[in-house]
Amino acid sequence: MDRNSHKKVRKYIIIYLVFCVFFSVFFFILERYESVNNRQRMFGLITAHPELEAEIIAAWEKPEHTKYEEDPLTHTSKMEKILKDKYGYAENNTAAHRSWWIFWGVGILAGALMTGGIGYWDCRSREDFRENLLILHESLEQFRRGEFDEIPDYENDDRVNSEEWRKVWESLRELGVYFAALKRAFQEEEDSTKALITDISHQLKTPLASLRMSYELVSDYQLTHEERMEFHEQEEKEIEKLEILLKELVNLSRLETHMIQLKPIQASLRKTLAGAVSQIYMKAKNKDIEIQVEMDEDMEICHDRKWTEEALINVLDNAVKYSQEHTKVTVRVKPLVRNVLIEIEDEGMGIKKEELLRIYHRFYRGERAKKLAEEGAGVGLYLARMILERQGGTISAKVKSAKGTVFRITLQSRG
Amino acid sequence: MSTDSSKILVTKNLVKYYGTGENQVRAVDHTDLEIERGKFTAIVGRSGSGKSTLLHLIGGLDRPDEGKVLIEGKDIFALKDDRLAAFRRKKIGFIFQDFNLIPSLNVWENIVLPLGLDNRRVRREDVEEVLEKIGIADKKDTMPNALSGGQKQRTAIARALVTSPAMILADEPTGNLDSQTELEVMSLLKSCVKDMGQTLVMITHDEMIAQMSDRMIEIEDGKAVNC
Repeated sequence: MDRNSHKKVRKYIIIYLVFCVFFSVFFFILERYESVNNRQRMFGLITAHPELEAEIIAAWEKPEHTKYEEDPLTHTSKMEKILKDKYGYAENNTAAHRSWWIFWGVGILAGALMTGGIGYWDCRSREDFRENLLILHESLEQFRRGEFDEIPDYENDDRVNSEEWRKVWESLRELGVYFAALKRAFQEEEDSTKALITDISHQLKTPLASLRMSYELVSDYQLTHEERMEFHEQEEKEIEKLEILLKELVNLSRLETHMIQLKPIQASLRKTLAGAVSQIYMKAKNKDIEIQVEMDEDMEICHDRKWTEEALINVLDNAVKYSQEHTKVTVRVKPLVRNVLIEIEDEGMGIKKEELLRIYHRFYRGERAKKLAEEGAGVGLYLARMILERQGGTISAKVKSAKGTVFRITLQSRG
Repeated sequence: MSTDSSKILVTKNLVKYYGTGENQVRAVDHTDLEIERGKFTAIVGRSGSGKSTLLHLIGGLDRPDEGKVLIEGKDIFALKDDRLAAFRRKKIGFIFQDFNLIPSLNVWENIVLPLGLDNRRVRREDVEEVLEKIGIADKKDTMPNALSGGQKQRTAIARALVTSPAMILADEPTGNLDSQTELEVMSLLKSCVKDMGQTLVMITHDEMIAQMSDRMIEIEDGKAVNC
């Protein structure tokens, strides 16, 4: 027992003693009052019936315990009965003092039991309270150490015995889970930046190696003018590719690391769409691919013009890149209730069902895509999805039964 | 109990069989799953592959024959029925294919119903905010039978969101909708994941929907195959 419990025990002993004193005093007064009353009644009876004086006194002084041992029809009993019935006088005598003492004893004992009980209950509930506070303390210590996930389950812990404490504990667990999620988000951010750097350097290595090879061939060997020109042409192509790739990677890394924040504003969708189509137009014309836009009326929707255009260019670029010559790319715009649907349909090579989820992964390129078109880093759809989803839009591809793919893009009509 | 906090839901060796002997159907057959917090996970599989049974188990609507479901590290089937029900109402929002709205209650009443069941205070502003976000603020007093399919599903989504659950479980939520309304509902659900950091687990057989997810889990003959 620590000092605290000593104090508490002392407190309850004092409470008990005070109770004893008050109870005894109260009892003493009550007893005095009763016996004075009794005598008064006895005197009253004697004055009223002087002829019965001896019987009255005998009945009064008769020891209580002999009462039932005697024949109920004896004289004294009869007298008692008379006294009781006739004068409303309850059977009593001076021997009743003894029962007063018993009453007093019972009272004191009951007081002792009650004080003890309350004291015990108080100690116990305080003990529980302290136990729960200790749990709180432990949990807070855990938080400080960064062990957010370690808050134990309260469900089967009998130390937690009230609904309120259960709620406190549940909130604590939720808080821990929340902190852990924050911590994890930071970690993920860091990991993804690392992965991005690795991916980018990997992407740059291949074209750079090919450029270096070409350069070394030109400088090391005796070549004819024509051959030299051919290598130069090759180099120029490689440099162009590298430039495109670099632009894509810069966009990607800026968006990914939130260096660029999208700023959606109410603006004409037709203008954005026209901007995207015009960027791809020459490329389509070179392959004799017709781009047909079906849009009934212009719509003002909330979008980031520059980056939404970039996203649309990426999807359109794929449509043109992976389609045969002399085909058609159709762009349909339909208003939905709270969104706008932009469908981009091509007659190209299509996407395999099992690739449908992977096409949005960073740097993923389908096997057939690699064969068909050399250029491309596998960034376009990844970027498009990121841009669209950041504005509350979606993108999904549908494989057509005949030939080609339909990309369905939704954008929120209001911000 | 230490758990990886990035996994909001973990199932361990989950088993649910129906029938016996020759007719025994292994709806969920020793399945181990992990669902990541704040992500949209699609559970895909053909009809009869046991995906709905799986959803019922991870949502605590049905008890498994064997195995555990841990939600935020808590073994939900260790709870008694009444506490499980309370836990479920607090932690999980359900969205079903056939909306499950109560026809005799209007939109507002349907949405605040789960709060009332737990004697939780209805914070008017919070509910209004959800309604605004979901886009049914003007339909508050409408009865369900006067709503279109899309509006019904929006109401169901609002009802699932209003308790701010840890996780939303959706069973073919666009199964009864036309393809354009489907896109609208999907766009809404996606923005719940993105803007509100909700965790969404959706059962679907539709590849178009599945590809909008962050992660896809394929169910084949009661077993999970990661994609």
